[in-house]
Amino acid sequence: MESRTHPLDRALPRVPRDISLSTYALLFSEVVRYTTNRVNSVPELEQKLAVIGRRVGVRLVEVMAMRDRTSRRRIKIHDVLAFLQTNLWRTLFGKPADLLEQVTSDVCSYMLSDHDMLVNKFISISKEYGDLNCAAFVGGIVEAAVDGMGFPAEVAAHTVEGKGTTLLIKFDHTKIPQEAL
Amino acid sequence: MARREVKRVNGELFTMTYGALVAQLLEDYESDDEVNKQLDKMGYNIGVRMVDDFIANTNTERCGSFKETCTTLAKEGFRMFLGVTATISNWTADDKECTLTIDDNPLVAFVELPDEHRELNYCNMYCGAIRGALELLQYRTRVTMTKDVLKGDKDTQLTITLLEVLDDVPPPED
Repeated sequence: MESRTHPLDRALPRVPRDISLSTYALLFSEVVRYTTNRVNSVPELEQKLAVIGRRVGVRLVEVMAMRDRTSRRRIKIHDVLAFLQTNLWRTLFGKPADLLEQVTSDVCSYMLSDHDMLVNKFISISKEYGDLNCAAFVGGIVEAAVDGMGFPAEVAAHTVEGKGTTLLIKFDHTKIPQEAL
Repeated sequence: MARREVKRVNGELFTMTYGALVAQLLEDYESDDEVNKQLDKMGYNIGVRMVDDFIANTNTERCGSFKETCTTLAKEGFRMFLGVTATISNWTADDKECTLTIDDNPLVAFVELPDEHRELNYCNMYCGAIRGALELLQYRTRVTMTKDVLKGDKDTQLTITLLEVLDDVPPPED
């Protein structure tokens, strides 16, 4: 590390630069291909993708927090969800997520849907992979994000007819204080 | 999708996804050397596809020589796919070997190489990608990382060596 400044000593660019979508798509498909070759089942594959997503999520949310001038803490579950739908999605995909719904009868379960999930656009899923949804990776990002905000949740990606990809976010009942609801 | 309209995504998402992939590889393989190999392999798969994408989206004239091909790859290829430019220099007298320098390497933005991974070529995917791209253009090459910002060098440098010009063989059914 002789001549190079430490990453933490360098200023964070105010606006992250862009990169070609094809480059990202190609990288992501290599991630999926590599992971596919190392697992035996679809759930295991989704789990592995989520682990990789989580690594991205922790870091991404940290840079977002540094850029956030409002420095407001989100202590209500609805603020957290709004953050996911708007801020996180804009950072990730340049647009808000299409739909946010509460699962009827459960105040701790929500569905966040995107009609046109970026990471799924370039992945075609052959029959033997059945209900695989590579947005499990995005699920991992979301999981890391909410965990960092003190709202731990389990996130699963599903393909839903008419809604595209839906992330089912199940917050941990035992860890969410009553007043956050 | 309209042609030539290059859609873009957040570069930090890209940088971090790459980092997460390298982290995964380090977990899965025992030696840095093996990780370097995997990164090179993945890069190769990507490079092969990039050539198609590049030709479909630009009006580049056919490059007449290896030298010209490398220059186009460095200048236009890097700009199109990574938003940065690379420069080619140090051609040997027989025009078979050159150095490619990446000025502002987007992959290393948040990276610090831990001491126990001194053998890791973090950006080795570049080597594979360039090798893949050139191979599709009939040039069999060897691409190696010679300078690495993560190991204290001033910039990222790769050496491209031309090994063989492959024959343009049409597919058997033609």
